[in-house]
Parts: sequence; C-alpha cells; structure tokens
Amino acid sequence: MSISAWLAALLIVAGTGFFFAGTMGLLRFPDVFSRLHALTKADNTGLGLVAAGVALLHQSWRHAALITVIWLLALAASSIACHLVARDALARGEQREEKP
Amino acid sequence: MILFDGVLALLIVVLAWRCVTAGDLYLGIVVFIVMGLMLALSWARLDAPDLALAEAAIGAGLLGVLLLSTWRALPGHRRQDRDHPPARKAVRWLAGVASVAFGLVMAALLHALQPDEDAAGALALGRLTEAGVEQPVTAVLLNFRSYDTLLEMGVLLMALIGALLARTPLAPYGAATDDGTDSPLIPVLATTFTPLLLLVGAFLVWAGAYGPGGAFQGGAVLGGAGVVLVLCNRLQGAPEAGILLRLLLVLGVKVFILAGLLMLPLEGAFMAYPPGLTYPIMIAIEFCLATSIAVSLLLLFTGTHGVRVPER
Repeated sequence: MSISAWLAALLIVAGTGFFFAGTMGLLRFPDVFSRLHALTKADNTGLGLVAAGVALLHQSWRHAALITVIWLLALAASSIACHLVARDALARGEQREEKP
Repeated sequence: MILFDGVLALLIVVLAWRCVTAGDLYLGIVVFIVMGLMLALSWARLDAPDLALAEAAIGAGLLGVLLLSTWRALPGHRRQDRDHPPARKAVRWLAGVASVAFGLVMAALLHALQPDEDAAGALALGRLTEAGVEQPVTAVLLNFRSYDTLLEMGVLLMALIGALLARTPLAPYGAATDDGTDSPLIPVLATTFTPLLLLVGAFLVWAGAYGPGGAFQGGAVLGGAGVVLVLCNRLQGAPEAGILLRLLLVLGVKVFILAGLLMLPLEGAFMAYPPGLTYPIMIAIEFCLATSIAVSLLLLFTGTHGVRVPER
C-alpha cells in the first residue's frame, strides 16, 4: 500500500470514529439541544474526514472537487436542519436538562 | 466486502421488521425512510446505480416526505394509533412462516435459474447502437420497451387524480403553518438550495442518455425542489389548477404519444422513431417526462389540484 492509501485509510477510520461519537451522543445525551449538537458537529467532521479519505483514494482532482462540493452541501443542509429542529423544539417549550 | 453486504442485508430485514412492528406510526415512517436509504445502498452494491438513484430519490426521499405530510394531516388522535388490536397469534405465525417459506422458494428458484442465451437483454445490448442513447437502461425505457414507460406515465397520472380525490377531505389547503417558517435560514434554503436542486435534477435527466440517471430520477429531484419551495412558503397549494399546470401535467404523455405517432405513416409502427433523429427525440421525451413527473409528485405532496405563489 502506498503512503496516500495509508493516509486515506487513516482519514476514513478517524471519520468513522467521529460518526461513532456523534451517534453515542445522540443516544446518550439527555435533551434535544445537546443531542443535536453532538450529532451535527461530530457527523459533519466525520463526513469531511471520510470524504477527504475517499478523495485521496480516487487520485483525481475532478473527483476531489466533486466530493468537496458534496461535503459542503451536506454541511449546509445539516446546519439548516439542525437550526430548524432546535427552533421547533424551542418553540414547543422543550427544556434544557441541567447537568445531574 | 462480503461482511459489508451481509450486514446490509441483515439490516434491511431488521428495518423491515421494525417498520411493520413499530407501535408508533411516526416511528414506522422514519424506519421506512431509513430502510429506503439502505435499499438504495444495496442497489448500488448490486451495480445498479440507476435503481439506487431512483430508490434514494423516490423511495426514501419523496415517499418519506409524502408519508410524513400525510401523518401531519391526520387528526391528532389518529397519529398515535395504537388501539387496533394485534392479530391473533395463529394468524401471525401463519403469515410469518408463509413469508419465510415464500422467500426460501423464491431464493432457491432464482438461484437455479440459468440465464437464457437468446434472452431479450442480450439482444437489446447487441443492438444498443440503434437505440440512440449509450445508456442501456434509458434505451430500454424509452425505445425498446417504450410502451411500458408510456403506460407507466398514464398510471402516474391516474394515481395523482385518485390521490387528489381521496386526499382532499383529509387536509386543509395551505402551506406549512409550523413555527419554524419565519427562521432567517429559510430564505437561504429557498434561494440557495432550490437552484442547485433544479440544476441537479436537470443534469440527472440529461445524464440518462449516457450514464446513471433519467426521467424518473431527475423528475423526483425536480419535484423535491418544489417540495422545498412549498415548505419554505414560496409556493403553496391552490384549489384550482391553472391551464399551464394542467399542460405540464400531461406534457410527458402527450409528447410521448406524439413522438410515437410521428413515424406511423412512414414506418407503419407505433413508437418507431425516425433514424438519425432518435437521440434528440429521446432527450425531448425524457425532459417532458421528467417535467410531468416532477409536477405530479409536487401535487401529490401538496394534495391540492394546483399550486400558486403566495401573496405577501
């Protein structure tokens, strides 16, 4: 395996680590806002790392650019979705859990 | 990859199980959407990117949106519908065992099936150069088996009319009345994402000529752009359909039939495209089909006979 393949593998593994952490947060955190926080931030980073790894594997600038655009779109979509869910939860009077 | 495929297959079965057995309607819908995404992934693994695109855009995306909007239109007490009693144990066992037996028989039969050397697929692939497009799936849909696609468009139109008749008493007219529509990010969503969605949809339709894509996938994305506009309150359902909207709804079927009749006097056959003009005709048909599909899906979502720009 070449250095770039190792680097890509490292990036993808790190990315799945972020996805894992985000999912743990979604399952374990007490209220909507902290769950959203964990999910969107960690998943966006994870997706970015996985995308970087995949782009590195492809060895093509065109594919790298396309993957970057896809990542940016996913980033924007998840930010807007996060904002809307949080806003709706706020409007419904969802309470923030204090630390036990 | 066998591990990945195995986990994927298992996941789909588990999700299907959860979708049927979920006590909560909302949970069932969400699980159904996730199952659609996993099915799209499995089509991609089976080297069928066209089906993967269609499943992701229609099966997971638009169908999910339709189910969720139907859920929202239900009166409050029907949303948490848990009061219908579960079937008797014997019935459930019978259904389960029969389904498993059916699945096993199908798996055994499909496994034993030998591909026919002179099958239509090989014949079609061999004569792909005459079809006008490079993409075998599009060639089959719009040329070799164009009758099927034409009738499908008719079915879609009928389904829309039936759904509109059935849906009208269910939901009041109007756009989303949620509290979130005054968010400062809504204009961003409407003005940034909608043009991109339109671009991606048009590209998918055009890409159908040489790669994965086509009228159904592109039309679904275009319809999705319309759904975003409705959710952002830039479009809303209207009780009356304008003449332009009606024309767009039947555009696909009309242009398809016209193209089919074009060469009837010369070639003596319906759907015989003139040689040399096959490619432009098929692209034109494809874009008309996608437009009709997009408008149909949008109207299925609003549940109204028409759409209009709201006055502000």
